[in-house]
Amino acid sequence: MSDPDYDIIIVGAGVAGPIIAKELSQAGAKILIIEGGPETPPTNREEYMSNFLLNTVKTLESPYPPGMGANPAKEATPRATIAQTFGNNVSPTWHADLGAGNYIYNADVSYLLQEGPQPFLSGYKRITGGTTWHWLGTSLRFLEHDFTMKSTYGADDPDYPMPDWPIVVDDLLDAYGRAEHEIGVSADVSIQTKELAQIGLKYSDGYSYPMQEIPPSVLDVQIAAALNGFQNFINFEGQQVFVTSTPAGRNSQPDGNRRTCAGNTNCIPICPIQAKWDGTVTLAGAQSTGNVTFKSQCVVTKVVSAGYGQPVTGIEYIHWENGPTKITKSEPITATAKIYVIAAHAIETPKLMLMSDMGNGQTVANSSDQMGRNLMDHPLYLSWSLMPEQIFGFRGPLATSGIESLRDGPFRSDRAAWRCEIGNEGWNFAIGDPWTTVSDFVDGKNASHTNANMDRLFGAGLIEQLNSHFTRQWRMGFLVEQTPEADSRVTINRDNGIVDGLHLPRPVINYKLSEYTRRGFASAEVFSRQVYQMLGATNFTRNAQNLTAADGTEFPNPVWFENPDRDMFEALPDALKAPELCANGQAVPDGFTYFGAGHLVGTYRMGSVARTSVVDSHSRSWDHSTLFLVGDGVFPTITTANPTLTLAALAMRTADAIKAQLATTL
Amino acid sequence: MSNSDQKTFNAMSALLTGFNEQLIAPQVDPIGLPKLFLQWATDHSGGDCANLLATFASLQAIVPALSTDEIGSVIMGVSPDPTTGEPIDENQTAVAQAILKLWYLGSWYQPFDIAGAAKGKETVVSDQAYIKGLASQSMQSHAMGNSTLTFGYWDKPPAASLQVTTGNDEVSAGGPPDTSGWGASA
Amino acid sequence: MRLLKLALLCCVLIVGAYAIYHYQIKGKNSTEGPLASGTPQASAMSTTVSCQGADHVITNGAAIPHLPDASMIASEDISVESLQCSFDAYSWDLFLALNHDADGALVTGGSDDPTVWESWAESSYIFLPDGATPASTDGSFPPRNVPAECAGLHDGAMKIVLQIGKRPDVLEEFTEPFQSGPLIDANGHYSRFAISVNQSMYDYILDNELYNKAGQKTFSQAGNEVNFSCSCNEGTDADGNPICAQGGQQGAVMAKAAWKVIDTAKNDDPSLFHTVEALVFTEAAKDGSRPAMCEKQLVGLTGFHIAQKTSNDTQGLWSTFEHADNAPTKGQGADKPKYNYFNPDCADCNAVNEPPAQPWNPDDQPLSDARIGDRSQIERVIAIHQDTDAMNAQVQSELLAGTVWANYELVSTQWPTAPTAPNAAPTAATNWCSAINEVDKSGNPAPAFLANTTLETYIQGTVPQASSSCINCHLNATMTDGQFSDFTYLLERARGP
Repeated sequence: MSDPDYDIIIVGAGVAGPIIAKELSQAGAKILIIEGGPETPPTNREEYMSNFLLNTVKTLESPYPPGMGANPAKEATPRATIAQTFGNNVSPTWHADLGAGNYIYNADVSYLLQEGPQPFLSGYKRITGGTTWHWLGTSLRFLEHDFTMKSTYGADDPDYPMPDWPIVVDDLLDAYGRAEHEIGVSADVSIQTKELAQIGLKYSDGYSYPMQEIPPSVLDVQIAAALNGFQNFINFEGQQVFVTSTPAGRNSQPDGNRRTCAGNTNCIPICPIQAKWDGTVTLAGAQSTGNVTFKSQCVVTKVVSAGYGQPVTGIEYIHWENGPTKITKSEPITATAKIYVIAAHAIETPKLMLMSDMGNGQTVANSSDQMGRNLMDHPLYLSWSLMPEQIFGFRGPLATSGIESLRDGPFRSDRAAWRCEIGNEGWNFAIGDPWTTVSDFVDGKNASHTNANMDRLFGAGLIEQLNSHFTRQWRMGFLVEQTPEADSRVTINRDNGIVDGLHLPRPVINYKLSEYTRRGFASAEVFSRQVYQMLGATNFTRNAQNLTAADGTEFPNPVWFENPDRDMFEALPDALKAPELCANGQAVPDGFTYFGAGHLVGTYRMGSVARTSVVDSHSRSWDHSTLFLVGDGVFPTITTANPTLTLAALAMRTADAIKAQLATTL
Repeated sequence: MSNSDQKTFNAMSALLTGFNEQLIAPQVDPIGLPKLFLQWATDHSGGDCANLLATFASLQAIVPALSTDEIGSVIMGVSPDPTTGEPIDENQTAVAQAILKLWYLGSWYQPFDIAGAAKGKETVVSDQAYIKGLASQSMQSHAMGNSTLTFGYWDKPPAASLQVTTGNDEVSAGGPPDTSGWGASA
Repeated sequence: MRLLKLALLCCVLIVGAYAIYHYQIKGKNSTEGPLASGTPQASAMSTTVSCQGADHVITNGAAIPHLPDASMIASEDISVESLQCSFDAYSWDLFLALNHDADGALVTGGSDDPTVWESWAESSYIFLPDGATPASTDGSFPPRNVPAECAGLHDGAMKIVLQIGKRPDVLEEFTEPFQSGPLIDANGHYSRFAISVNQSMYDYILDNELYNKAGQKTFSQAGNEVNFSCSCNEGTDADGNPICAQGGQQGAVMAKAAWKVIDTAKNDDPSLFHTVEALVFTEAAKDGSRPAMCEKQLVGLTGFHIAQKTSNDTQGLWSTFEHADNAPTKGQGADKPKYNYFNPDCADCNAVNEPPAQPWNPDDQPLSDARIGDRSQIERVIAIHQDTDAMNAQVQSELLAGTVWANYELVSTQWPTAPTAPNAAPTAATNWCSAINEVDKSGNPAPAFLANTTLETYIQGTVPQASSSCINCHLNATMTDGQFSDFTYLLERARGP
């Protein structure tokens, strides 16, 4: 066999790909990075900002290509969509039609083919830098018990849904520190540990973050004043609650030739000034070594291997360009290396692997039959309310603090934990403000539920009403820890005739939330009532069981599910059943709706044995020693923390493993 | 647009938005939103924008003078036109509401069907229209994506009062929230 | 002809309860008529430019103007366009004054005579590696130490040692702000950038110990916010209160320059540029393959920013100049045979206004002829306004003919249209600056976007926050502790504990 073209080929330039590329190119390795989407030089921020400003719907994908509403059948790298998957793209008969080649969302707008029973609500970007273009920057570490769920909370329960990880937190402390310095995280160890050591937040001795913490918002301070130290939250016996500053990959001082955060309140969908780290920052660092070849608009179609136990011997990709009328694409191109790293996120990676037929009826890296299974997200419960005092939302980074202190506890033996993110953006996420409330008070409508009198206002009266609402709006977002489920999964179907613009099969998604997960929503609703009671706030949360079709008929909302634990609510004291504290005004809720958090996790899990996992604890395929599958697809559980920091830390760990492997094989 | 149309439009915009005219239509103006907005409203309302301006001018000319509240109520269709006893034409009110939302949000919500644009079609008329939207001033902040302040400003209440941000000494900030809408249908 | 003496009186006051610019018009102070236009006269002392119906006198003098003068504009003619004329005339006055040498003569081509701004404190002498106090604390600028790598090249007779790229961790010296990319000229050389500050600004940094991290932290923790001094002219407001220090005040001024290597082998003509002999420093290669190096090179000025804080314009006035041969204007054809940053005859050039491909490596230059596509291929995106164009032509022909400076043009002047807070009159306690507009600290600048093709090469568009706007961008500038640094990115260069 001839010499390989490169030491390492990395597929995907999001988070893990650039980190591994930078670590190893600085050590002298010759690397090819292949990115499916377009290149995004720093100057592209102008174009993306312009898209954001001029789009009427300023959702997280609004700044980025392809254009909003583009038909995924006509795009080379269509992305999973968010806005299009809501509301008017759902057929009123979706529920009855499901199965038999029908999907929850119209395949002309939804790249993901959703077979249900529940919709998967998160998307990702297929551009250079990946989804970090619109991440929030939240950089929380996982907790000690996050890695040992089974042995800590389910040792005696054969049906306990959470596995252990093949590593423990101590294995990752050093890598966490390296990841925090690569990303540039602003936080203060002493503040983090003061109240969170009790839930197993750990650091190496003497560690300090690269930057001071981001100041808390007026809202954060007010909530902290009301809640801190309180320990009588129902369902959390004796656990103290604290509001803590959220570590963020966002500059609290000038760093890495990027500006200090100016509080544009727009981390999602786009930071206009790149005060927030994204994958392109680290990619540029890798490229500056001169050891990295970067190819964009190249979609890998196959990873080549002769069989399990055999090395990967190459990858095949096609280069594409958007022509004036259609996509032009190259013939398949083969590239070879000593090591292959697939870093294409939790949906595109399993899609590619399942497309990588080895000619014997088997697909690459799937001897365990786990490839694509255990797809997870943080199903997010959103609770929004009005404060009695002005707290001045819509200012500062989208979130600066959260309630982390309930992320661990004995309750995890039978219901999902969550972290609570405190939003600084009023009801922007919740109801689309300021647009919704302004329109209500100008047009005399009540979509916001705050204009019951259908007032039609102007002049000083309009200003005062809007000021009164906007300066009191806030929300909590509960990121619920979802269980891994073997039948929540990514598959491909070469027979359904539905392809992307390169004629590649599209991901088919099956997804559901378990009872364990759903009970986390119930506890979040109870918690929010207690918080509102303590603050004197009024709950305006609406969980819509039905949607209304254009003709006025009502049909089931696909993102609604039934309350899993009515008893939890029946048992509440009457004070916590007051309608103004309750979502939908219901003392015992009929059900809940969920959002996606954009945290795509789990489809090629790591484990300690090859039989039940896809990769080992270094993200190396059990089946092919030269193949690494990286990113948060390796997470055995999603935990309650946003995944980016941990996947970055795992990428550092993988980089070390590759470095060692290259040294022994050279 | 004639100068006088622009003047009438600016005066009506100030009355409807509640913002000081010199803030939303300053003499020294590097952006030029008033001109853009009048042109846009004219182009997207058949003749009803011109009719609305004429109605506004006639209301201003009534002797004894109507208060700004009275004029605004007529324009918004809340009160009848004192000269006719009837509400003004509903299309004119719809244009006034569209102009008001344009000032607050930077988006034009097509008030009724016209050639090339169906009722309800939303358009961000320019990037500057969005970032200068008055909604952000009503909340004493900035448009999302366009901070006009500096690192850490969010840990303190706004330095500028609502009177300063709106240029309107008549507004009073900090009134209690109206939560009466809580019980409205889910 | 007697030098026209202009009383540059404050013409911008704040009225009412909110920040609205109101232009109080004083009577014309000049008693002499304007120069007859149309009679080119090299090195004339002044010229009168008619712009938007008002006459603006531009003076070829050594006195740095403290304030723009709008007194010749009738109140009913006040507009963005008419005021722009005043600000542009002011920019030329400033440019002419700063490019005189210490003796008051206008520096001519090929000379190594120092201009006024080249004698100022350059950033690398202020922000020392260990955060040490700059050597000079006696009111003079810090000495220009020659780094070891450059020592052998230093000719004691060299009057100017322009040392660029000294600071290894400030890539801005060879890439543009925020890593947007290097500017590689048509000959394949990396352009270099340097920032210097005047005495007022230097003194403020020194007095408040803002030259290292610890000093900045102490300053912030004591509740201070950076507020450099504002230029103003002696006078009183309507109530008789002073609006400036006695005798007027020279406030903070910054100058940022872009330099290109004059490569005579590639037919660069030094007589077309303001040139200096410079010691160009390049950091050591990251992988240790090459030590730091220093070269003596003749470099020519291609871009020049000047920012001055004034008592009315807390955000500063931002004047930007360029060499006239830098780049063609988009859509207007490339009719010059040779540009500094554009190749008019090139099929394989890089895409227009896209940064060159990585890796960016100033160790490896000039680029070989084969690497034609790795150079910057630059066009000006926003055309220079016709009023400014006319003013440039008149100044170049009447005041600058026969000097290298005739090859430079004003791109524009950015100024805040709503700079200050209500009732924000300047006082001695505020360094004679008006308090900033708390609703919009940018002061809603005019023009809304302004870019120099050599300094904001790759962000020349008109997208809010993302495209170049001097004031909007510098509003984001902070010290090393994240606190507002008053519209300068210099203070983030502080090091030490």
